[in-house]
Amino acid sequence: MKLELSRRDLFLAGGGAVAGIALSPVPWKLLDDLSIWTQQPPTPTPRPAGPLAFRFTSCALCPASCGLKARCFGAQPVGFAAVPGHPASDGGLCPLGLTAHHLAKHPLRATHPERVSGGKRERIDRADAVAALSAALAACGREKRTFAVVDGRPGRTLSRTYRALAAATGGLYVTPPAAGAALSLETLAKRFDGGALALGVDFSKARRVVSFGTPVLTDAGTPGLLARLRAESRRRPAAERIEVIQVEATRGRSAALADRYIPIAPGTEAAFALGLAHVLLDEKLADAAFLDARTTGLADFAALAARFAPALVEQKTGAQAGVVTALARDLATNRPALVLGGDPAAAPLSGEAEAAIAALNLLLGAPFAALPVRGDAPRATDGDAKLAAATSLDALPDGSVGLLLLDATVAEGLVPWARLERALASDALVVSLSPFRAGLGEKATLLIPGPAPLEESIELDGPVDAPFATFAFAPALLSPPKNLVPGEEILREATAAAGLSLPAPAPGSRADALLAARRGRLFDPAAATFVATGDVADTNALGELFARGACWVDDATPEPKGRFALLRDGEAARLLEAALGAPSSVPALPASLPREALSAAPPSLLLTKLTRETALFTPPAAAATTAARA
Amino acid sequence: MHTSKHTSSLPAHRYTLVVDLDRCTGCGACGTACAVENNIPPAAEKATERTGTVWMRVHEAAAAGDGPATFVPIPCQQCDNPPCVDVCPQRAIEYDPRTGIVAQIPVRCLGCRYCMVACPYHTRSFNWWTPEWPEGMKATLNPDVSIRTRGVVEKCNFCVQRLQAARAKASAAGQAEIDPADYVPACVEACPSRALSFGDAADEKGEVARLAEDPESFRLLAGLGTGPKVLYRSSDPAARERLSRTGVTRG
Repeated sequence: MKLELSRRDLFLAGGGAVAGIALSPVPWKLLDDLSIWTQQPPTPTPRPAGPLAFRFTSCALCPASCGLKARCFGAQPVGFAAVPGHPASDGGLCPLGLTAHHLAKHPLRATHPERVSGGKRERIDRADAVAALSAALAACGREKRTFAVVDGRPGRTLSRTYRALAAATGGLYVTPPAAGAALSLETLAKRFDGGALALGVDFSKARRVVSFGTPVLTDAGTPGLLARLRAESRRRPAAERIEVIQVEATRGRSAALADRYIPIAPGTEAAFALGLAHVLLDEKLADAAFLDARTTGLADFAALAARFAPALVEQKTGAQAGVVTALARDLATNRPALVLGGDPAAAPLSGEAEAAIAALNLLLGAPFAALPVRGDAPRATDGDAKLAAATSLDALPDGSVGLLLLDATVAEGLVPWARLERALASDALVVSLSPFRAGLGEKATLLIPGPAPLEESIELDGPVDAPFATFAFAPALLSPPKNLVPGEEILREATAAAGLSLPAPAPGSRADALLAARRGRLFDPAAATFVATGDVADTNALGELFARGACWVDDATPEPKGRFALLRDGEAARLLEAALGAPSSVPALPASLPREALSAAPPSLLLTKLTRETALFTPPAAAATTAARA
Repeated sequence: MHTSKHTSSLPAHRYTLVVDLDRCTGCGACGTACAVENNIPPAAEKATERTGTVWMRVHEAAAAGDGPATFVPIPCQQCDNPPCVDVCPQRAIEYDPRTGIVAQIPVRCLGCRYCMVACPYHTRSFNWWTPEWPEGMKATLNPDVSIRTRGVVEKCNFCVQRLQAARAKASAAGQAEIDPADYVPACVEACPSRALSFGDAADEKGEVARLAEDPESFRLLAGLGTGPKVLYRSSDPAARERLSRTGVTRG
């Protein structure tokens, strides 16, 4: 019998086979097995020992001093959040602060002293490091070499030791220059003839904020504060809205976010400010009552400003005359208006530009409204110890410093290494107490690391541009490695070995001073409540509050009597020369994470994601400059 | 308009994120907080913007004319009609009808990346590299979130581990519903300018429900009908129109 297979039979058999297989469990079992084989086993995350708890402290990475709520397992924090209602930070926290708990384990963390010898970095014993420091200190006295210490956070207990050490060796105690809005406030305060004055910034009272380069919407002051206030005001009637006007040469991040961005040629800020002053005075838009009651030198300043008609300003700055006029009128109409100056890290404004900005604030009557007067947090008395006075970075003569000591809190963005290097003698020893082989710690020839952020309680005076003074003893959340000791201890050991003597600790503590002043309130972050300082029983009770992350907040300070000088003696000529000078070179745009330039610690590795995996932080080369327009 | 089985019955809860673009300064705090909370590893040396693992991406949308720039944080949009769910051969993505959260289940993921292709918002990342943390940094990881091995797709899940913790707390207290304050994703908690709001849109008296009805609120790529539960809000009509029509493309 002949078997005949037709094509139809083949199709039927094939179809039957497919149907049979589909109806059998075989393919589904194979698919199931495949999914099981390919399932990725989860990797359990190690759980730190200890129960879950929330602890409170403050971030010491930059002067904003934001409150931190730490989620901890035992002693180990695994995440941070801002503290709602915190008086220093108003519930803000930047990306740097969110990763502060990574820094103790940062790859650039130094846990042993290191010395650079023959171009190579080598680990040494602590005893050797202290001996090297003490020998250098002794040499300063013996060989008349200059000792200089740079303190990133003046006012601490450790700062007193630095000052005593500088006095004992005949050296210099150097503090970083004021930066950003703080520089403008300092310039304005120095023009007051009624005694020492400290001014703050109250953005909530302003309707117009003009910034000559300070990144007010991104990096300056409390994180996110001005952006939030402005957004909230946008949903109010037009007359109550806050607008931000950024005037600078490069369209940085703050300029990109501003309501108006006015590009000007680099280095022509003084001319632009004087142009605004010209319109305000020419059209009688300035705050006449404030000028009469609180300023001197109006006639001289008016004569100077009269030379800066908008047409000339257009010629010098590249900004159209109409823009200058319109902005001046807008500021006069929408008061309180305030004007802030230079960039915190990249290119601080010249003294002349800051002087013109200070005068502009006076014409707008900003002091005591949007620029309120603020007190200082009470300090412990220095006693009768011999302490060096603070000097500026510019006071360091070139090639003069034989021993340079860098505090762990010195941020390279505020104290550029190039400036320090210029001051060093050829065979100078650079000692850093930084816990990181990064920033200025990397430049040191002798690194004696101390505790990292969160490993040491630190005294935090709040941001100088806040509307009121704050203070906190930010409690430590982590324990430092056993071999690391605080900088104070290292200095005392080295000083004793060098045959120098440091004064005994101050007779009273900062807590004593706060209690004695009997002013202000204490914010308890756990309960989100305030308690009057006067209601705190004693220093121990205050210490307990600070150990729980409390923050002291000052009372409102009454307006002092006195007048501001619109112009100092001989200043008109310098201002005129600076404003009429040629534009400077194009300033670099810092392409850093928020507040990175203000922090002495390297950013967490996690933050590299922000720069490498997003287009948020563009490098300077990509910044659009306006040099061509000018 | 495209409809699917997922919208046939809206969930009891509709957890919704509202992003106020007027407030966002593009500081990146949301992305950082997300990475810390969800154990997203630091970038590998070879990572680029296209191959790195990021759950919360912040884009700068081009400004119209000389107007201010707009920064747009883009997490998973948690669609009510999620295109990713239907294309996953492994059922590694699940739409939770009780919460509206589209959950990615890494242990089931085969890494075929169909979901990445299907997602019109490009909010998913494929983790190309074995996660590596510097020694000691592992102690800082969030123990409530497991570490994903390489070769799976990852995305935002509204910090669902916080929801589970809130449920456990409510259960222990004998409460039927969680306290809304107990369930806040890390990005919302971290935003310094308070540009992010989070809550249950099904709660008609809640702030998020009010914001969802705000005429200034809109959805990215609204015409696709995916029904995102991430809403954006801007006072600039041009930005609203542009983003709802074109979205923000990646890269």
